[in-house]
Amino acid sequence: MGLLERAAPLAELVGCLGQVGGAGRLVLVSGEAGAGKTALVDAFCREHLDGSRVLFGRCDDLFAARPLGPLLDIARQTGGPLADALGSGDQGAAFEAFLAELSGPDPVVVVLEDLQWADEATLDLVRFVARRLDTVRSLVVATHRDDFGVDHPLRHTYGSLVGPLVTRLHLAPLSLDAVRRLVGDGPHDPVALHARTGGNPFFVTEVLSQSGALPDTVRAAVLARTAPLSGSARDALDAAAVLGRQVTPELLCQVGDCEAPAIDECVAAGLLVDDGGRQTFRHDLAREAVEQAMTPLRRRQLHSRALEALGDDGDLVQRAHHAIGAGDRAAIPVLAAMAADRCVTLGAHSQAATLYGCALEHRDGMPPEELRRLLDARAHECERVERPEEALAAAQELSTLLTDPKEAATLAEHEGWMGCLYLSAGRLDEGWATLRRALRRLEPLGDSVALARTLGRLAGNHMVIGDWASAVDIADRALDVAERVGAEAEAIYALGIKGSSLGGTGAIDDGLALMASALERAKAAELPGDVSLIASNMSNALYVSGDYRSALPVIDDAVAVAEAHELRVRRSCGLCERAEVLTGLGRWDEAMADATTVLAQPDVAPINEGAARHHLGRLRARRGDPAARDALLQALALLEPIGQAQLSVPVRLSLAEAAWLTGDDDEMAAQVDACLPDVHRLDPGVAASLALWVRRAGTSWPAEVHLPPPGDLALAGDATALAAWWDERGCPYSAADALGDSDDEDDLRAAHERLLALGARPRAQMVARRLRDLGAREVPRGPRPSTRANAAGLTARETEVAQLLTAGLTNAAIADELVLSTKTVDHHVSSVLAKLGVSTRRDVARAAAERGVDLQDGVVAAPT
Amino acid sequence: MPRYLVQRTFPDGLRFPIDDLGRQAVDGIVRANLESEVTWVHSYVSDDDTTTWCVYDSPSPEAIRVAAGRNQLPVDQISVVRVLDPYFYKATS
Repeated sequence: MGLLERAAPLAELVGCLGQVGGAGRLVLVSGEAGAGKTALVDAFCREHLDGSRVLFGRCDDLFAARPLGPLLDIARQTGGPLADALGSGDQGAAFEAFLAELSGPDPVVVVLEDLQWADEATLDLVRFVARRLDTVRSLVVATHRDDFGVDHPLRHTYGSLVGPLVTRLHLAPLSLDAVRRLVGDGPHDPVALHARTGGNPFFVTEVLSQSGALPDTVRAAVLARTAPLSGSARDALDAAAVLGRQVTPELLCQVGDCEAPAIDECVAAGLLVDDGGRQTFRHDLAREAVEQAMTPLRRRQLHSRALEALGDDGDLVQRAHHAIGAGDRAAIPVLAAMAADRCVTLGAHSQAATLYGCALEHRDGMPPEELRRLLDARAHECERVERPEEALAAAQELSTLLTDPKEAATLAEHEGWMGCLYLSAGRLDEGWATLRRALRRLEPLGDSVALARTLGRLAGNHMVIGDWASAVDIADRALDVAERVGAEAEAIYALGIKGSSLGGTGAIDDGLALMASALERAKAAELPGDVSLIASNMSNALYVSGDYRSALPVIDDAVAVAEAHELRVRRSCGLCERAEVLTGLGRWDEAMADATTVLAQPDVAPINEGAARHHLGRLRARRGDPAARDALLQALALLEPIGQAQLSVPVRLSLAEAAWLTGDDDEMAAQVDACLPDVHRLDPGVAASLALWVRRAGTSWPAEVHLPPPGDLALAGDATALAAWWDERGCPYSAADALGDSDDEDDLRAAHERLLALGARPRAQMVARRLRDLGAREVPRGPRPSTRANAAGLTARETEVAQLLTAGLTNAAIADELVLSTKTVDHHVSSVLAKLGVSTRRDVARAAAERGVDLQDGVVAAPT
Repeated sequence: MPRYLVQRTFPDGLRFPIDDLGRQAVDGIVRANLESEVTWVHSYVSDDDTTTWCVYDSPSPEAIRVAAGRNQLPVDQISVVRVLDPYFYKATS
C-alpha cells in the first residue's frame, strides 16, 4: 500500500523539483517522531527522480553530534574535492566544494535527515546553502522533528531559513479515515487505535503488525514486536540500538556477539532494515525503545564492545560517544579531547566546548601540558559560543597553573584576556583589577605583542564605559607599541578603538576617518572579527550623530561578516546595533526580528541580551503592546550591573517613555532624574534623547554641559524644528513624536496621522487628546483602511501627495489642489520621503515602485 | 504560556466561507501560527464582521505580530488577559 494522506506534500516535493533550474530550492519537512518524514522522502526518491543523482546525509543522536556528519556521508558518495576538503579539515573549502556539487549541469537532490540532532557546523552548512540557493541547481530536502525545545539550536537556524526558495512541509497525523483504511478487515477497532496513537503513522503500523491488546505507548508496541525474537536476535538488536547508525553485518555481529542469521531474523521481523548490505533500525523510535529497555550494565557493556570494535580508525566523535556510554575513564579524556579538536577545525564550537568539558571531568592523571591545553581550548570555545561563566571557570583554573616565573609574559597576557571575560560577564571589579594586574606584569618586560594587545583591551574597555579621553590616550600607547613590534592585528584594533573614542569625545569626523582606515587595514589583513567590530563601531558613531541612513549599510556589513565567519558574539552585538538603527528608521518589524533572533539563541552574553530586551521593550511601549515595562526592567537588570551609563541611560529613558505613554508622569520624571548624574558620560545621541525627556519632565539641564543638535532643539521645545531635523534623517517616529509637542493644529493633525500609520497607537492617542483639548473637530480614531494595505506604510493623504509630487507639482500647488495649508503639505512631503527612505523628491517614484506602491493610478497594491 | 486578546479591524468585513475553501484558509493560518509557536484558541466576531477579538496563547507579543504578518492579518491592540468566570470562588470555598 502506498503512503496514505501524503499526496499533497509529495506533489509539493515534485513541484519543487520541477522548479529547480535557474535556482535551487530548499524544502524543510517537519513532523513529530514517527510522522513518516523518511517514508515520504523515500517515496519521492523512489518514484519521481528519473535518474537524478541523490546524495544522502543523516544526523545521529549522539552525546555530542558528529561535526558535519551528514556532509561526511555525502562525501563518501561523491569522493573528489568534497572528500579532500573534509579530509583536510578545512570547513570553508568543504562548504565551497559542497556548493560546487550542487551547481553542476544536472540537478542533484540532497537529502539531509534528522536535523534536530545536527551539530552546529551542519546547521551552518544549511544556512550557508540556504543563502546561496539562487546560485545552485539542486533540490535540498531536510527533515526534522518539530517537537524540539525552545533552547534547541535548530530553532535559531530555523527562523533564518526563509525566502521565496524555501518551502516548509508539515506532516500532520493520519486522520481516522486513513486509520480505518489501514485496519481494513483486521481485528483492531479503528476509533480506539486512532485515539490511542493520535494518528502517528509509525505507532499505527507498529500496532497493526501484531495481534493482541492495544499497547499504551510506542515503546510498548515496539517491545511487543521484539518479544517473539530468539535470544541471539535480541543480542543483534541491542547491538544495533547502541551502534545507532547504519552498520555492516560484521560490526553488528562483533558487538552483539552473534551470527549473521540473528540479523536476518531482525530484518524478517521488520525491526531492522537492510540498505545495500548495511543494517539499521527501521525507525529511530524503535531504536530508542530498545535502547531504553536495556539495563544500564548491558548498555555499558555494548558501548565498550562497540568502542573496541570500531578500532583506532573509527570516527572520533563516534568513538568518544561510545567511550562516554561505556564509562571508560581511561578512554574518555583522550577521545573526547581528540573529538573536540576535530569539532573545532570543522566549526562545531558548541560541541567542542561540551567535549572539552567532558575530557576535563576525567582529568586525573592527565599530563600537565595537556591539562593546560584543554583548559585554554575550553575557555576559548565557551567564550566563542557566549558561555562567559564557563569560559571564566576554565580560564581561572588555567591561571592558577601558570606559576613558573619563566611564564610571566604568558600569564600576563592570559590575565589580560581574562579581564575582558570578567567585564563581558558583568563582573566589573574583578575585570578591571585583572586587566590592570596584567598590565603591571607586562610593562617592566618591555615592548611586546602581548603588551600592545593588553593596552588595546584596556583602551577598549575605557571606551565602553564612556571614558573616551582615557581610551584615546591608552589606544595611542597601544598603537605605538604595536607599530614598534610590527603587530598589525594589534595596531588595527587600537586604531579602531581610537577612532570610536574620538567620536565619543565629539570629534566625529576625525573618528570616522580613523575607523575607515582601520576597516580597510582589517579587510586587507583578513581579520573578520576586527572588520565586524570596527563596522559596528562606525555604525554606532554614525547614528549617534543622527545619520541613521548611512549607519544601516555599515551595520548590515558588520552582521554579514560575523555571520559568514560564525562569530557569534559579534553577530549578536551587530544584530542589537542594527535593531537600534532600524528602530530609528521606523522599520519596526525588522528591528523586532533582529532583537528576537538574538534572544532565540541558546546562549547570549548579558550585554547583548540586555540590549535586545531593551529594543523589544521600547517597541512594545510605542505600539501599546503588553509587557513593555517588564522587558525594559529585565534589560535594566542586565545592563546596569555592567556599570556603563551609555548602556543603562537609554533603557531608563525608554522606561520614562513607556511610563509617559501610559500617563504615569511621576514615574517618567523619576527615571529622568535617575539619568541626570550620568549626563557627563553620554554620547551626543543619548544626550539628545535625555534633553527631550528633561524638557518633558520639566526639570533643568545642567548649564555647563554642551548640547549639540538635535539636543538643543529638543531642550528648547522647538517642536517643528526638531521634527524637521529628524525628517531630514529619515527617522519617522522621532519626527512625528516631536511634532506631537507642537501647539499648532495642522502640526498635530499631521503628527497624529503619521503616528497611526506607524502603528504607534499610544502616542497617537495622546496627540488626539491634545487636538480635542484644543477644540479640534473630527479627530480620526484609527488608521484608514488603505493605510494598512499600503506596502510603504503611506497614509491615504500621503499617497495623494506623493502622486501629485511625482507629477511635478510644487508644495504650494499641491496645497491648492488638496485644499490644505502649505505647511501641512510640507509635513506630508517630509513624511513621504522618510517612509520611502529617500532624501529627494526625484527618487519618490522609483522608491514607491520598489515597495509595490503604484502612484500612477492611485491604486494601492495590497499584499496578497 | 501567557494568553492574549488581539483586537483586529477588517474595514471591508471578514469573510470565511463555510466550505472547503474556508477550511483551507483556516488550515493555512494554523500552520503559519505553528511556526511562530502561537496558538489561536478562538475568536469573537462583531455582528457586522468588521471587528474580531481573538484569544491566543503565545510566548510573546512579538510572536503574535510575526504570525499576524505571515497571515496578513491586521493588529489593532494586543492585551495580556486572564480567565475570570462567575464561579471562580467555588474552587477556593
